[in-house]
Amino acid sequence: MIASLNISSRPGVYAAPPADLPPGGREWLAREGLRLYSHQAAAMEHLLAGRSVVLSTGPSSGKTLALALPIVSALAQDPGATALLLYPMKALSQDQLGKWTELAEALGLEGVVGVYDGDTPSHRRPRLRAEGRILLTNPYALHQYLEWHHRWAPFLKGVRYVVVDEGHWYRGVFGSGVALLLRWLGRVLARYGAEPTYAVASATTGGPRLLGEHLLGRPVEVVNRDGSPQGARTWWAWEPDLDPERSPFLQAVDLCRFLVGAGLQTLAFVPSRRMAEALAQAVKELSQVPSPRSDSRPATRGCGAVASYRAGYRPEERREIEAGLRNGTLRLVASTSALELGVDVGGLDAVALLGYPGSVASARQQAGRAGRAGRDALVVYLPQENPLDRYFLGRMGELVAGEAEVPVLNPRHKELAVRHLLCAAAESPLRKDELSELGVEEDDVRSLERAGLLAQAPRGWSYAGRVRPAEVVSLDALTARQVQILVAGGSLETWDEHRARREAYPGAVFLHQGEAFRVRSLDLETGIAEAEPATDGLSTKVLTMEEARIQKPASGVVNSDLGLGTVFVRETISGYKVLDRGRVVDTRSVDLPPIEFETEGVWLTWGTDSRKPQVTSRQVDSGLGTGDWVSPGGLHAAEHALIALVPLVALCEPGDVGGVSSCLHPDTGRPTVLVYDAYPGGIGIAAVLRARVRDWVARAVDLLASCPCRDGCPRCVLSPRCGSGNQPMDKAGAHRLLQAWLVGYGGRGGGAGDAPPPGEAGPR
Amino acid sequence: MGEKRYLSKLARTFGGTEAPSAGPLPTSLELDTGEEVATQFGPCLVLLSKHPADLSFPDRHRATETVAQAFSLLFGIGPVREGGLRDAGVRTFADLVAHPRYGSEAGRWLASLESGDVPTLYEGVSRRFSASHDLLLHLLAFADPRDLVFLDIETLGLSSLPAFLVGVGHLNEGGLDVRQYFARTLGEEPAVLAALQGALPAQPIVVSYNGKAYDWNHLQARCAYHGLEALPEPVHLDLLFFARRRWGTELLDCSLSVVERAVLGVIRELDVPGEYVPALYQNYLRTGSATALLPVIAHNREDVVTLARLLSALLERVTGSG
Ligand SMILES: [Zn+2]
Ligand SMILES: [Zn+2]
Repeated sequence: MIASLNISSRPGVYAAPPADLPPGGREWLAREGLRLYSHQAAAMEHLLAGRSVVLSTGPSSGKTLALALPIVSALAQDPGATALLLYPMKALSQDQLGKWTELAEALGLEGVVGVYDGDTPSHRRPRLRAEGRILLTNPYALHQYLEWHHRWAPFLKGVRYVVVDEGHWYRGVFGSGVALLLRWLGRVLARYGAEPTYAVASATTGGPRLLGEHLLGRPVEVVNRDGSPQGARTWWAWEPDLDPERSPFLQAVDLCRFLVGAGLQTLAFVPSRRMAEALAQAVKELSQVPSPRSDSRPATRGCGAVASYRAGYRPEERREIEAGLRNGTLRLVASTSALELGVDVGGLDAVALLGYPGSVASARQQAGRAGRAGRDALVVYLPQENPLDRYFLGRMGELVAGEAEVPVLNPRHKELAVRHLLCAAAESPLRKDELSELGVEEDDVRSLERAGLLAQAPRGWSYAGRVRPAEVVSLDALTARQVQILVAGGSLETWDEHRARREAYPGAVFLHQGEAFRVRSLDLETGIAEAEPATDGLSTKVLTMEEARIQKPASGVVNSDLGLGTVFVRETISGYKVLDRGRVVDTRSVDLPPIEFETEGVWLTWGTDSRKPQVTSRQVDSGLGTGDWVSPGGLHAAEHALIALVPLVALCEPGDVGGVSSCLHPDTGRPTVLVYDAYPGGIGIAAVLRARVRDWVARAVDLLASCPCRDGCPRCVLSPRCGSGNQPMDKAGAHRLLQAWLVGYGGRGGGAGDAPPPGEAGPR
Repeated sequence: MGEKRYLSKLARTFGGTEAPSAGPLPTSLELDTGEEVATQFGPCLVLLSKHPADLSFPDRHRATETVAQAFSLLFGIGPVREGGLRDAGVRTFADLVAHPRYGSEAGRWLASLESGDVPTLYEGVSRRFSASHDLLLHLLAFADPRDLVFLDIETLGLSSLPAFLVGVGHLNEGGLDVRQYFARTLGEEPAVLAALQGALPAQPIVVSYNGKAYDWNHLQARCAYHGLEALPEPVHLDLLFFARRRWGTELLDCSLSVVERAVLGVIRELDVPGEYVPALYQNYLRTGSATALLPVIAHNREDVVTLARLLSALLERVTGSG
C-alpha cells in the first residue's frame, strides 16, 4: 500500500417534489416516507414538462426512482400512454422489471408491465404488444422488432416516454449504432403520432450533454449534481513493486485473501472473464488449506463463500450469486465489469479494483458498489502492468474525483449511417426531408438506388434488397461480414472481419475463456476460420507494418504542429513470433492481403532545422538538444505513450486506435506521430483527441516523467500490441519531444485552453 | 475502397440488384398481354387471362342440414352429450331451439344459416374445428361466387421483403378470370397493392395455398409498410391444410406441384422452382428484359388456376359427386 485517500461523508441534498408530479406520485412518496434528492427532483421536473433529460449521477443515487416515479404516475393518469425502456443487456431488464412493476402496482397503473426480448416466450408476445404499458427491452431486440411496427401499433401509438438506461454504456461502434437506432425509433413513433420525451440515465461521465445529444439526436437538459448522501470511503493504492517477486496475479490473490480475512465482504473487479474465474479458484483453493489464523473464522472459509461472476452465466446462476452477495453468505466475488451495471447486490464492505477498468467512469461505478448504509467502505486499487493502470497509481485523486472521459460515438459515421438507413427504409419508405437528420445525403440514396437497394416509389424510397437489413446490420460491428471460428466443426466464437484479419491469421494462438486455440486456416471469402486446441503452451504475437497517408486535413493546414483529418491506413501483417513463456522461439511469415481502410486521424508534427516555424530556437534550447532531438526511437516511444493514454481522454479501449511515427512523414514532410481511429470510417475518437490535445499530450509527458524505469517498460512505452516488437524505443527522447511540442503548441495558442469538444456547442 | 466496389459490396450483403436497368419500362407487348392500370399510388401493369373453371358449389339446403347436425359446434357439447341428444331424438339444431341450455346458440346458428352469413359461420366453425374440416367447404354453399379470390403472390423473399407480382382469380360466368398485378419496378409495389385492394370484394373469401401463414400476412405487412389501408379480414380457405388432411399420407410431400400432379394430373413443363423467383426478378430489374421473367409470370398464373381446380376437386367430395 502506498497511498491512502479518505473521502469524508457527504450529507444528502433534498428538494421538494416538482409541482407537476401527479397526486398519485406525491401520495406514494408520502406513504413511503421518502424525500427526494435534489437531482431526482430536477430530473422529474424536466420529464414532467416534456423536456428530454440526461441524468448522470453516481451509483446508488436513485436514478431509477427519479425516472420511474414521474413516468409511472404520468402513465397512470393517461390510459393510452405507454413507455419504452431500453437496457444494454437482457439481465438488466429482468433485474429492473421488479422495481417498475412494484411502482406500477403501488400507483394503480392498469395494463401490463413486462420484458419483451428474445427470451420472451412467443405465446406471451401478442398480449404484451396489445396491452403493454411499460415494456423493457434491449437495443438488439428493438433492432429486430422495428420492422414489424404494424404489429406494435397499439403500444407505439401511446409512447410518451423512452428511457435509455446505462447511457455511458453506449459508446464506440455500439453506441453509434444505438444512436442511429434511436433515430429510426423516433421516426417510427412519429408515424404513429407519438412524440415521446426521452430520458438517458448514466453513470458519472464527462460531456453528459454531448452524450445525450449524440445518442438522441436532439437537445437535452443535463442533471448531474448528485444530491445523494455518500458514506465515508477510503481509497488505497496497492503498489505491486513492493513485492517484485510475486506476480500481479498472486498479489491480487493475496489482496483478496487479506480483505476477506479481515472480515470484509469483498467484490473484486478484474479485467477478464478468465481472470475472474482464475482468481476465485485460487482464493478458494488457498482457503481450503487451514492456516493458523483462519481458525477464528471457520464459517466464512468454505468453498461456497467464494464465487466468480461474468456475462455468459445462466440466469439462475447469476441470481444465486446476486442473492449470496445481498444476504452475505458469499464473502468474495471476483467479477468482470458485468456487475458494474445496475444489478442489485446490496452494498459491500470493500471493493478491489484489480486493474484499471478502462475508464474513470467505470472505476467510480465499480467503487460505488462499496458502502452499506451507515458504514464506511474501502476501495483498494491494484494496478496491472500497463501505462493506463500505472498512470493512476500515483494519482488516486484523479481516479476519485478527476474529470471523467468524454464518451466517443459518431452517429454521423457514413458507413454506419448508410447501413442503418437501409434498416429504416425497411421499416417505412424514406422521405427526402428525413435524410439530413439521419446523417445521409441524397447522393447516398441515389447510390443505394443504383445498387438496387432502394427503389423510388410515389411516397419515398422503399427498401428493395432481398435480405432483411436487420439480419445483416449488426449493432456492435462495423462490417456485416463475420468470421466464424470453428473448432471440430462447431462454432466457438464469431468475430467481425476486421478482428479476424488481425487475430485469426493462420498460426495465431488465441484464448477462449482461458483455453488456448491455434488457428489452422482463415478463409475470408467464406467467413470461416478453423482452429484447434493448442496444448503446447506457446503463444503468438503478430508482426505488422502500418502505413497511414493523410488524405484530407479537416482543420488547419498540414504543415502545422497539429492536424486532424481523413487518413488512409494500410496494415500489413508480415508474420508472427512464436513465444514460449514470453521468450521468442520462432518467427514465421504469413501471406495475407493488407488491411486497408479510410479513417480519421490526428497528428503531431515537429519543425525541423530547416523548417521549424513553431519551435523557436529558444524553446529548442530549453527543451530539446540540438541535431539529434528527433530520433525514430523517440517518436515511436511518444506514439506509444500517446496511444496508451487515449482512453483517458476519449472513452474507448486502447485497441480502438492505432498509430504510426516517422522522422519524415511523406504527407507532412516533417517528423510526425499520427494516431488514427482503428475503425474504418472512424467512430469519433480523433475529433475528441484533437479537441483535448493539450490535456492528452500533457498526461503523456507526465507518464514519461513519473515512470521510475530508465529505458522504458510495459508501464510506460512498451506495448504488447506494437507491431514492430517495441523497436526502436527511446523513452527520454519521447519525453523531450512531447515537452517541446507542448511548449510550441502553448506558445502559439498563447496559453489558451483546449478547444471545446466537437459538438459541445450543439450537434454537428 | 472505390465507390463502385463499396456499392457492389453493399449490394451483395443486402441482396440488391447491383446495377438496375435505367432503360424504359417493358411494354405490355413484351409481357405478351396486359395493360397499365392507374392507382392513387401511380401505375402498374395488369395482365388478364381467362381460363375455364368447373366448380360445383354445395347445395345450400344440404349444407344447412350438415352444419345443423354438427352438435359439437355448440358450446359444451361433446361426443357423450351428442350421443345422448341423438338417443333422445334430437336430429338438428332446429330440434334444440327450445332447449334451456343450448337453445339460444342453436337459434343463432340457424339464423346465420338462414341468412347465409358466411363470415359468422366461418368464424364459428373455425373456433371449433381445424382449418381443414369439411364443414368449411360446405360453407361455400352460402357464398356469392364473386367473393371468391384465388390468390398467389411472388416476392423477393420471406418475411417483410417486397412483393412484385400478385395474382388473383375471380369466378366469372363459369370461367376463371386471372388478373396479375405486376410491378415493373419495385417502386410500383404500392400501386400493385392498391390495385389489389381495388379488386377485392368487401368481404373476400380467399382461397390460397399456404396463404394463411404466408401470402396474406405478407400482403398485410406490405400494405402497412407503404401506409396503405389494412386489407379486410378474409374468410380464408387455405388449401394446404385440406390437401394435407386428404392426401398427406399418400404423397411424398404436400407442395403444390406434387399435389397437382397426383390429384389433378397436371404436369407443368418448364416450371420455375420457387427459390429462383427472386433472382429472376432481379435479373429482369438489372437487364430490363422481361423475357426471362415470362416463366415466373406463367408460374404464378398457373398457381392461381390450380387453386381453382384443386378447390373443385375438394368440393366434389363434399357435394358427393366424386
Ligand atoms: Zn516505464
Ligand atoms: Zn510500436
